[in-house]
Amino acid sequence: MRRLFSTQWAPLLAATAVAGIVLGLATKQFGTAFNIYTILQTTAIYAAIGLSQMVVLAIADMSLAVGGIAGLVTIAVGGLYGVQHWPIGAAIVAGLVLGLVCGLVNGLIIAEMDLSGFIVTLATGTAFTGIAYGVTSAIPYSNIPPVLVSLGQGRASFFSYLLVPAIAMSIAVGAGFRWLPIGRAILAVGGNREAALLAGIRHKRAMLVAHALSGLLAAIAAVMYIGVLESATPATGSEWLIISFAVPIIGGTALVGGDAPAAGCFVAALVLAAINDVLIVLNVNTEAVQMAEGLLIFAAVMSGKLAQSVGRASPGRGRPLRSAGSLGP
Amino acid sequence: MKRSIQSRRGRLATRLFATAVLGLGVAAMAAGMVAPAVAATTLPKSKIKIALVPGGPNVYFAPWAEAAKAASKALGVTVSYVVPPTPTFQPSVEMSTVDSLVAKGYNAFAIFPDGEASIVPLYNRLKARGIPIIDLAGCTSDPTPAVLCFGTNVEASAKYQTEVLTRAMGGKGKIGFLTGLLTDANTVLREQGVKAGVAETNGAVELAQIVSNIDSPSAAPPAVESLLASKGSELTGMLATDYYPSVAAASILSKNAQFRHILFIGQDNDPTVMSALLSHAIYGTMLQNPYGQGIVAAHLLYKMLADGCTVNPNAPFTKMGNTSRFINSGYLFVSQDLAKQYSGTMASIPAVTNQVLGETDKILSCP
Repeated sequence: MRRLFSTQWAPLLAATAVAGIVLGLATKQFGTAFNIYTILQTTAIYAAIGLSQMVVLAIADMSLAVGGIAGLVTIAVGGLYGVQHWPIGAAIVAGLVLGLVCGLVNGLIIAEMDLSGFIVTLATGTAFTGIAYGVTSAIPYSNIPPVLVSLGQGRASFFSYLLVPAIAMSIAVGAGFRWLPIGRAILAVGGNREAALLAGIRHKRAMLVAHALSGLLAAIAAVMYIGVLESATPATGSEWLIISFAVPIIGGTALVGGDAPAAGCFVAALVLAAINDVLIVLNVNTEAVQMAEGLLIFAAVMSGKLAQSVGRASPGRGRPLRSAGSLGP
Repeated sequence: MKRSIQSRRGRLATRLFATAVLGLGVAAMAAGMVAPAVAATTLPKSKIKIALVPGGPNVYFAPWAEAAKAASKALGVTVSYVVPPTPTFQPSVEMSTVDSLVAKGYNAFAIFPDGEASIVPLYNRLKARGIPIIDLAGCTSDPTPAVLCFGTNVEASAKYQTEVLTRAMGGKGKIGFLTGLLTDANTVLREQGVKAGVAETNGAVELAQIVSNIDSPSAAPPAVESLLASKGSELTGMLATDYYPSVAAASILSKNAQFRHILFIGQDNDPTVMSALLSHAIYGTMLQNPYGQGIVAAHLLYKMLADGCTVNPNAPFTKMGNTSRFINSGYLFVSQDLAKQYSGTMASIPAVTNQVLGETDKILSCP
């Protein structure tokens, strides 16, 4: 329990819970089952998008191709099901494989040519988006199978069905980084590449796996989203860039790598989804959502610096704190 | 003596330079600010190449591709639909796309302007080369080198949409309004239209909430759900003037029967919207005429190049907020009764298209 409260996202979760209770008491609409479902549905999507970015931030890299991969996977699933008449299961599997391959391509180029992920994914992400628009001529596929619509918009009271894959993804990613050798290798390379090399960790393989995993997670997020809009549009992912960074950073992921708090991602997704919702419930201008996101990222960075300073000032406390915005080793 | 000759030469050069600058300035003013008429010469069909250039890849413009094919076949000239590779509608990308087309010999353009001011330098360059431009589906501001603007009268459309909705609501109740970016010129006009429609009820209908900046696949669904969660019980009507909010609202209202008391009028005829309309989950949708926009623009540009026509300054234009040379491409309310007729079809209003084509002799002055 003590460890839970020492995490960077614990105060965020506590503040959100308190704000939620106050809002629930102040406005009768906030606490309704439908409104909580709305927040949780958005949380699930945001968490999936955030995890996709977090796994590459963990290795001290980044992916600007998350949205592009999502757009490509969306039209692949929509087209294979709606136009080629594939069974929906096969179309989804093909979409996930496509996402994985896109991530692999990113990882291969970055690892083998020792290029910056920023440059490579900027290029490939734009290319993926271009392919998605080119294939569809910007026309969405609207023949969406009921199973995806049920997943995207289905609920049991306040519980959005999308939470099931989102929670499963968070647990799997969290466990992978904690217990799998490749997960620990990614964190080691992200934390200190030279030290990892000296320890005999194959950093190229770690980079490849991190980007491949990012592509797969982006593909899962895309499949989850198709049913939410009930339309497979190539524009899916066009606005995912900011959210893909905001979620892991607010959740406590270090920009310099070596950290992958999947639970923090989930909490940050919940916070951002709640802000989105509250501002509409309270009839605040929707432009304020972006401002709130910016302030939250800034707060996360500042709290990271503060925690780092506290860690340095207390050498006897054991493991130094590592958090979002820590700019030094 | 030598110095005197040099001095005279210098003065002459200065005068020539000043005259040239003055001449260029006058020419530029004439090109950019005075008459909209261009293309007084005639060209054979083989030399006419018309391009329909949307703002970027967007489902709204898709019927322009079909219109380009149909116009090319009907007129016997090249009519191409060329999409600038910019999902975010960047003016610079659109400008370089058009420049490339000019280099390939295209000599008439119908353009959706990405940025009503930033595209004008490109228009000036085209006009200086005698290339006519029609603003299509969006207008640049006067004074503009575009010969005219042909598009949906979005303010009138939104006002009509609101009037239909308030009538269906029995003339009283509360409305939620879903729309795009409030800094976008078209959104401003739509908001004005909705407010004007609401004002006609003398306070009996209240515009309870405007949810803006949600015309994207990721922003629309949660915003619509949040609005329904907070105001669903008190709203009696809801309208969307943009594509993604319309699709999201149609889908959500179809799946959540507890909000069926809300009469919703959407925008465009996306299959999700039409399916909701057919199942009576929504009240109606507003249809626009992008196919007709492409047909009419290609026809007018063809007449200008082939017959040497110019735009008639006394044409039956409508004065809009930013331009005085506007022609409405039409809008139509599609009710539940008409849903079948407009499902699975291209967005087109043939009656308006034919009416505008029939008025070509009033819009253009031909030798």
